[in-house]
Amino acid sequence: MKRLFPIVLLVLIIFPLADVQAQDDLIILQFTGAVGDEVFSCGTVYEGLGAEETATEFMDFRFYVHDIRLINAGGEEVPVELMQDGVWQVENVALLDFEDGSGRCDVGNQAINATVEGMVPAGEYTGVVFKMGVPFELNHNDTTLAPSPLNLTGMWWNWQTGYKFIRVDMLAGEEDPIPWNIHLGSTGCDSPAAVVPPEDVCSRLNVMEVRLDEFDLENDVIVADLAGLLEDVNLVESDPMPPGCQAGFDDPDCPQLFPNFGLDLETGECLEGDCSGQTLFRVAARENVTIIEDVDVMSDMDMEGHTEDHSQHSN
Amino acid sequence: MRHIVFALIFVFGIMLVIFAGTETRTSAQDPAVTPWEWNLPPGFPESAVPEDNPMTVEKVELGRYLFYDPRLSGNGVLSCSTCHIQGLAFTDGRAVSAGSTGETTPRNSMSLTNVTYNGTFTWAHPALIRIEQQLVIPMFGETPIEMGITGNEEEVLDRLRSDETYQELFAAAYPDQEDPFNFNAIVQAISSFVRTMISGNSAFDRFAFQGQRDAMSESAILGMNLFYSERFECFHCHTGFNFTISTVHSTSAIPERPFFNTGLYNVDGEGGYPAPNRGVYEISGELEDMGAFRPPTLRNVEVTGPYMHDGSMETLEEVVDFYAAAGRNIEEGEFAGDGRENPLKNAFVIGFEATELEKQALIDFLKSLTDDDFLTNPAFSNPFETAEE
Repeated sequence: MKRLFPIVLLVLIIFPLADVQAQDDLIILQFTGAVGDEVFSCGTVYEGLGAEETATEFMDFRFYVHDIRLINAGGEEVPVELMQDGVWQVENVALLDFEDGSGRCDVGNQAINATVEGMVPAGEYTGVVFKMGVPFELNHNDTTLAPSPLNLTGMWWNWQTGYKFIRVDMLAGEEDPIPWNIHLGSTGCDSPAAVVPPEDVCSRLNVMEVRLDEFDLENDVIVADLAGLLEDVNLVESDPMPPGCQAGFDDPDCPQLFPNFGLDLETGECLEGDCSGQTLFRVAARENVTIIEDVDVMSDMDMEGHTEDHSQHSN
Repeated sequence: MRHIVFALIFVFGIMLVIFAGTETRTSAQDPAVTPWEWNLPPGFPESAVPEDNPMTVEKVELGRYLFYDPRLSGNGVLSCSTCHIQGLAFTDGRAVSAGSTGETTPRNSMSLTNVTYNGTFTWAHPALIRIEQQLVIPMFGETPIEMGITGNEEEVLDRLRSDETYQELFAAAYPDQEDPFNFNAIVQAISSFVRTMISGNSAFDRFAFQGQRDAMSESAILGMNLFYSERFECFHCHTGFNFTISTVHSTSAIPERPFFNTGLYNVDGEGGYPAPNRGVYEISGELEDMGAFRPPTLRNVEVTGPYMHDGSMETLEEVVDFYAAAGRNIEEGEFAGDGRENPLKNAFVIGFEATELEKQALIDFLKSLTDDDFLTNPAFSNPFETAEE
């Protein structure tokens, strides 16, 4: 009997786990970053973007998603419970990060994340719905105290305005390229100063909802396509204050871009109620596109191996 | 067969538990050193301290003596504190610093304010991510000579070894080491001391983190809102509680350690900076890293002038005008060139038009980051002077 004890113990431990596994499936939502038919990368100049077919180099490409749901055969939306991995996902928010810090992506870092992992009840799913951005409840916390990935200061304005939901920095034009940056986030957030979080929900949330009705988890990929986002956007000129569209309701560079998010610049709500006019996200079969591979965060231990040179001074 | 495997797993599990238990007991039973308690200011996260150099009260105390002791330099004339003066937020007030033999470094002494949160160390070196790595450079570096320990190693250690105060301090900090008088122990102690240099009680902190809405003047609040605006764009690089995007702390899972070109120079029309101050390019040799420097914290910036990596700007007014102009146009001399047209310049250095009132407001905001408690905190002061009093 005594010899049976460890087995009984293990069975007791394993059985409840097995039980959960029978009900819930781990799913991986595969994203990728693209510029038209080409895969996204830092340091590449892409031809023919926007209304004036401008050659453009990207310097950043990251965005947050939250409130992810799968659509089952009955048309119901079933929430995906995200794995809390301590790096890319926290609560119901995940960061997609396609820049690797190379080329002119100088605000970024080496790590790449093109996947979202979560649990859903086992079943057949035929579509996916998600929101781009950070929910209001998490949007105005102190970024330095927030858990990863909400502690990236490069993805954050300040307490009042919160996070940049998407950050796409560009150099547009071949000779004398101009900076053209897209930073989407909430506006009309009322508080006494930039360092004070608002008590009431911002008047223009600018959270787009993306509904992809036909999406095969196993075989499809969600393509975030910057050529699509820049459709009919004039990249030759930019009102210099600020360069590109930083989501301001009176930013002269925003009216041409906002419809591509499916958003109404004046209200911060979806145009026609469903943001379906958006041109950033589309579904593609995995076999038809190049999928950006995840790159793990380089640990500090790895970094130390690079201290080789001695021609340096203390400051 | 399966039973045996299960039994083995079970036994192994128990061994793990016992082993882990022993481990915990050993470290918990070491009463000789006192773990450091941080007492962080409101709004500040815990910093990431390397596991191989845990903070102790004893190491911090030893580090404080070493930081202020010129006997640590080869010829006995220079201490860390020569170039890092507390009243100047641990800078030296000079454009560039001078070493123990009079040789100058090419760069401006950096403030040690909140250095425990630095993403990287020095003005432009992506691989220096720990204070311990940086410290050996001023201690042993020969191009230029700073502390000048190289070639004088035994002499320096003997000076410390023969001092009664140090005999006590080293023994207390390293109770497990038979001979703690070695440079690893010295580097660890100084690193521990400078990690305690936390500044978080400025007027801005009282306004932002302590709810004192009268702590900042109206002008400083206006300046703060301009600082965080898409007109002035300051906050893109100088963001977060430490006013630099190059900030790492205990929960930073995706470290941010960027470097930026701000258009200070353009000596060749192609973005060139004068050697040996070409930023990360000096390390990487990659043209895209030309002129790329780490954005330093702006805390206590009122007292850390001259400014920029080479100390080439005297005043905050000059710095604000430089960013308003979207770079620096040097019309003549060996560094002539229009930095405003530097092709490698960061996209947020686009310039801004501002009234004199607004510029003054921005400067008032920057001055609201001055933390007088930090500049006068006895815990960071010279222990030799305290002892004499």
